Amino acid sequence: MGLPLQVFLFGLLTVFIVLLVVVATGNAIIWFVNRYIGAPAQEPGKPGSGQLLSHSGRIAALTAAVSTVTRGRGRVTNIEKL
Amino acid sequence: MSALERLYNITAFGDLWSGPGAILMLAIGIFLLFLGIRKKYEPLLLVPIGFGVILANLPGAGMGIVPEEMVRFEDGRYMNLVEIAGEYGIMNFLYYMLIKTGFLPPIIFLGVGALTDFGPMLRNLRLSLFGAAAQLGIFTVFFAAIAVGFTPQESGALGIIGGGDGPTAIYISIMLAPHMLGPIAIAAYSYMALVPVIIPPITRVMCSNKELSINMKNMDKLFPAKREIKNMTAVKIAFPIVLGIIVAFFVPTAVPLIGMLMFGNLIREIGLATGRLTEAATGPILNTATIFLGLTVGATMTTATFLDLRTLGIIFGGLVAFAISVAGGIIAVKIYNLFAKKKINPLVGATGLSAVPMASRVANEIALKHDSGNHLLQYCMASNISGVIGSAVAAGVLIAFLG
Repeated sequence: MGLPLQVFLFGLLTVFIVLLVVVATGNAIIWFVNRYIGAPAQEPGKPGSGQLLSHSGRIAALTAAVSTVTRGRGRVTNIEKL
Repeated sequence: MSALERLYNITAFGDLWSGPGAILMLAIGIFLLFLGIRKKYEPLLLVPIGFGVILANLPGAGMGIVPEEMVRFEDGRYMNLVEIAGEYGIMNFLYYMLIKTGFLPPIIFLGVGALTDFGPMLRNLRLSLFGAAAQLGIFTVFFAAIAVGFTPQESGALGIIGGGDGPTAIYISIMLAPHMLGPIAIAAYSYMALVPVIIPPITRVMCSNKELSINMKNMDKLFPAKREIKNMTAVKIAFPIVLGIIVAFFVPTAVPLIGMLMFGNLIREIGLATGRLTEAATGPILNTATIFLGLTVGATMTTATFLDLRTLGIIFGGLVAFAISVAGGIIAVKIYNLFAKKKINPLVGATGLSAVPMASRVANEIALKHDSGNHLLQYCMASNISGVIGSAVAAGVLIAFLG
């Protein structure tokens, strides 16, 4: 097999395998955190910890929107329903 | 008469007439400034690069980057930095210190990591795989470039433009084909800026209206995720540490890029405790690196290196690589949809190259045109961010094979 073909095949395969590893690693970390660390405790009565939106999709959309608009500088620390 | 002649010799007009290519290069520099300032195409990069081109081609100024052979002795050793600065000026000093050593691209990756939120990717992990398909352009153009006469190293540097990642393209060029650095950097950043022009026609040709209307949120409702993430903060902190180590075992040559990306992301996710580091990485460090990267890359574009038919080949090849990468991601989604119940909008595949977050924003706008309630941004960001990892890994593979 010539060098160009080797680079083509092994290159694509390596990228695919590494991204499979990314998926597996992500899933493993999520499983581990869910099982052994769990959800962070909410501090009752903390200022600004009003009614939180619990819908994960909505939170994800807000986080993505803030990240995009602020070019990654802004972070969502709390979401309150007004 | 002799006094006038002496006065004339002090000026640079004589050099200008003896090398008219410089005028064309100055025009190219001004054009890049126009694109950056007026058209707002990646101004943070194109403005320094454009000005670097102008500085390098000012007759008699001696600001252009000299070829490597001129700073290397016969026994293979390099001149030291003081000698380079004394002999060839400050721009060559900066170039050989910051670029030739491969220092700046990983530093920029540090800043990129500190600006990147892996959250959307972690919420949609399987979409990350499309970041692999979108690296198709890199390897296809690598193959084609060898066929038309580029060396394997040059072909690797040319193909990487298809990853849609400027720092990675620069890093690979430094490692494999430093003489092509200028045109490759220009092509990479120009095409990243032209994502809003490149992606829509490709999706129009390759996707039906029905496919572009696939609503991912509806799919999520029909086929909900098996588990939710209970503690995203903990996951986000663990992710860059674990992934950085694991990827290093698979592709050690990608560590300078991936390692810095993950470190940057880690200090971001830790939060307040490392807030000052994040601020430094995303502000002063990233901005300083960008200025020096742009100026020195621009200064590599002298008449001798840029006014060449191969430059046209690089610009054209880069565009083809970029287009194939977009198409590769779309094809991968289409193949996936053939077998899966939970369909994916092909636009998610189209954003598998880097160009974060521009590609995702463009894809989101296209989706909204087909269905005003179809917000794809967070899904596209998943493949878009994995594209950054994918192109850095592709770069590592190219260095391992060709370096």
